[in-house]
Amino acid sequence: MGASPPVRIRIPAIGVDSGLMALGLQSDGSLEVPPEGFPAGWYTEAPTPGELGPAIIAGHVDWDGSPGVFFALRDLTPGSEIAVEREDGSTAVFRVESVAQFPKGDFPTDAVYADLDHAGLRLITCGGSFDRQARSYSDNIVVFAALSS
Amino acid sequence: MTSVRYNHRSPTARPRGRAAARHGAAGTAVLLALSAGLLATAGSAQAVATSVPLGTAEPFAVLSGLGITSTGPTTVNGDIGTYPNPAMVVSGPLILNGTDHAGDGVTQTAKSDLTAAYLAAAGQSPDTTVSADLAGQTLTPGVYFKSDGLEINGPLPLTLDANGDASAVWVFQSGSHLTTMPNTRVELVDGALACNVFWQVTSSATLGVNSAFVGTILTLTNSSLNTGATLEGSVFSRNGAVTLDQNTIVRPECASDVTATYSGGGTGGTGGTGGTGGQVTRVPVGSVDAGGGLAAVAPRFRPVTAR
Repeated sequence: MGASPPVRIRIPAIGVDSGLMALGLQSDGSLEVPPEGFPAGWYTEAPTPGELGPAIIAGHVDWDGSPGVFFALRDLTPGSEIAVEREDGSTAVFRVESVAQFPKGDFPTDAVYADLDHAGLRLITCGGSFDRQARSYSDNIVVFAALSS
Repeated sequence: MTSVRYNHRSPTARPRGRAAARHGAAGTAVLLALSAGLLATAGSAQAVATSVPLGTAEPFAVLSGLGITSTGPTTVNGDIGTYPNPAMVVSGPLILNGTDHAGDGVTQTAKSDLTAAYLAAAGQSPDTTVSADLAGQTLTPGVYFKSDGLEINGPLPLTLDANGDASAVWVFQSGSHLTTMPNTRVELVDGALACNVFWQVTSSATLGVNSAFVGTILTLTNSSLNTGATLEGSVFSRNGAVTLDQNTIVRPECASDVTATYSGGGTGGTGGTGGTGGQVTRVPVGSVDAGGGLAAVAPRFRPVTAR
């Protein structure tokens, strides 16, 4: 598919139906995240979902004591469908390949961001144990998906 | 495997002070969530809002005239200062990721630039008159004016839709107050950036309990962020005070020189850490902080075996 900014993500299996905000980089070079539990966001310096390469969508698992947009991401199973509506009116439909958890210190940068020979999608949220002092989770949960056609 | 770079629009450069926003075709395509009584005449005449230059006030997240009061825990990413009254009353943690300039020379210059910014925002020609609650509306870029108070009463969010244009600017002008109710939200979609949203408020600004707000608030009198309110942006009070209560204020990175020169890793073949030139034009560093807030509710994860 050609380039077109995404406007909505739907994951029927886990009840996700969210608009998408633009995410860039923070001043330390790390990925921006949305300012609160909803909506999810798409990384604007990665391919738009549907284009060749890894599209990136991140969202919070929870926020301020309530579930966030990607609260149930961990429950996705291979084969589940992810639909991303694009500004041009088309919808990119992806199938989950795998769902994995990584300690943040071992974030799999290459697996997530490396070039692909197909249109891919990575959904990123947090998981693992929660460190109250640091107010953050120990791990990232990443869903790897590929454009189905 | 060939690395192909797609030159799609890459709006992470978030310019301030750029020229007039360009708009996508057909301002008639504005979507309005219909709710009783709401009528903004938005979308009929697509006009132009220009980014408001903040000058030396740019790095500030909180700027005040009559002191800053904070009940913690409050987190502020960005500089803070208050002049001419330098009073700071802080109870509970104030987590500051920035510089506290108090009433120093930097603050004084910033206050002066704030006055200019306020007048610049107030002086833009409005092209849409807001006649109702902003909640539930989806607004495209432009200058939105209301002679009396601007409000978000909820429960549906105010959505700012850039139609893919990352240089899109919104300027809201209130002839009176700005007030948002508890749990209300402002959402940015399709390329809209907090850096490009400005609120000019002729009297006082109040953000509701646990509300989420976006943009640079330019208040003539007092600004109050009620308990738990979050702001992606900055809050500036010219002649009044700023009152905070367990808030999170994050000034987004807006400088046009944020196109960092990532050296290394940049052969484009594998898009390695910190590299450039692959399908992902700038590879983020490290992990993603996508959870937390004040409490953990996420259940334990059961790994799924890949196939």
